[in-house]
Amino acid sequence: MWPESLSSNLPPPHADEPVSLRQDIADELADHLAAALQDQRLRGADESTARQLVLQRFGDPSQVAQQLWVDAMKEPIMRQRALLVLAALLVVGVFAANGLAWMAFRQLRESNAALVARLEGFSAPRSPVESADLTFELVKEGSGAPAVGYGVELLGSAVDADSPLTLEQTSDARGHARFGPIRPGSYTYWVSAPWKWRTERQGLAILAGQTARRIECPPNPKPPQESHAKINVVWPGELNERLALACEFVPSTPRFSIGDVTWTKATGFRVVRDLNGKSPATVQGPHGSDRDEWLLGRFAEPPTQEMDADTYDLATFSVLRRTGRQDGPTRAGYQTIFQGEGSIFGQFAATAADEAVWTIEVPAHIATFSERELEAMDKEERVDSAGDR
Amino acid sequence: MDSRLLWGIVEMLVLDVVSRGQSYGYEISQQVTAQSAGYFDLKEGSLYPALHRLERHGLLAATWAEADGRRRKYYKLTTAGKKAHAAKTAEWARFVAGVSGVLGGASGVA
Repeated sequence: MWPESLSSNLPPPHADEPVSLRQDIADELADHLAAALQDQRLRGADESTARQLVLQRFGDPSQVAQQLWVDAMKEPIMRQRALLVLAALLVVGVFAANGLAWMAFRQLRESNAALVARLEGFSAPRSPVESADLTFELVKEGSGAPAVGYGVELLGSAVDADSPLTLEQTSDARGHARFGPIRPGSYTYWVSAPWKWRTERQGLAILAGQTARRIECPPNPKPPQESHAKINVVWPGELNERLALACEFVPSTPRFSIGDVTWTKATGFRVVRDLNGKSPATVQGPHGSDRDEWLLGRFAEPPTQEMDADTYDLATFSVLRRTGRQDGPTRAGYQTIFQGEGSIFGQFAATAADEAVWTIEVPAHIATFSERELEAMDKEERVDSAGDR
Repeated sequence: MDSRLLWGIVEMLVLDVVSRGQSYGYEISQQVTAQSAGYFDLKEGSLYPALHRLERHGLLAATWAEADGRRRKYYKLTTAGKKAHAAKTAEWARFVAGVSGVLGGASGVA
């Protein structure tokens, strides 16, 4: 069918479309069809045949017109879409920026309010009813008699304070250890007997007003007696003078309970035997303390170890190698190159009555390090030191 | 002819026809058919998109004029179009020489 109007079959008008685009496309194709039709007529074809031949060759004029329109509008349409996407991104960005600004404003307002509240808290006198007087009543298990000379450590934070509070008191003649006034908050405390026994950490919530707590304590009538046991470390054969042996002793029964409170004996000690010393050397440190804090400053002191009369286990024994990193007999100057369970040496009962001699024979297989092995360790140490620098 | 070999050929043929003087769509298609002895029969669905593409790229410039009582769109080469025509013609000559050399050598051996 001969097309009457090519422009009517084009897509809907577009905002960026040139005014004459549709008409130009339609006119150009119509001119082509008319010229081709005229050509066919000149060749002798009748009108119907001429139109049929022209359309047969041309194809669908509407489709060609649409393709020309799309080709012409492709760039403006893509540009418009890109602008729309950009505008959408800008809108999202503006909303996001507004949201962030609002959140920042809220945080600032809240922090300002908190600051004002704290400043008001500093300036306003605290009401006495908000504080508590905390009293620990320490009694001996069984008799209920006052536990005199026991310590109480209190640690915690009041609800209206930022920094933690640490307080210590010793029970008086009535067995009372008083703290106060204390701000309400969450606290923990430890009670310790004069001879290094102490409770495990206990939780305590302090509320406004009076707070009292009754603690049953070990009724030990007198402190444990001191023992003068000797530690004799026997090394197999001839040993390198750069080696030492550290033995950690702990009470055989380190924990016991009174009521629902667990007590621990902090009476362990360590003994260090240095073959470079003139005599066996000892050092004492609180059981459970950081090994690096050992001070080996008592080399060549009397070869006895003062300890509470008790039964002890050798928990661990360690072979130490003296390094070149630090002068002086401190723990940092030694490197642990072997550590083993001390149970193979059995238990040691230290009594006050006699001066026991505990002999620890170091097995040859753990105490023997060749000069080559020690030199290799020295080399690794130098590499590590260079790496640290 | 293999359509893959025709890639870019339509533009080159159009540029060549228009290089001889301004022309319009129907005339261009007729000249191409006549000068190629009927080998190239440019369909309108290929011819007009190629003409408009060359116009958008600035290789052709268009003007409208009255002819036989109708509006007719005439195309002529721009300066850029002339350069492009010269470059494409030289490139095509090298291509033909290369292909002919190979085909001629092959027939000589055989």
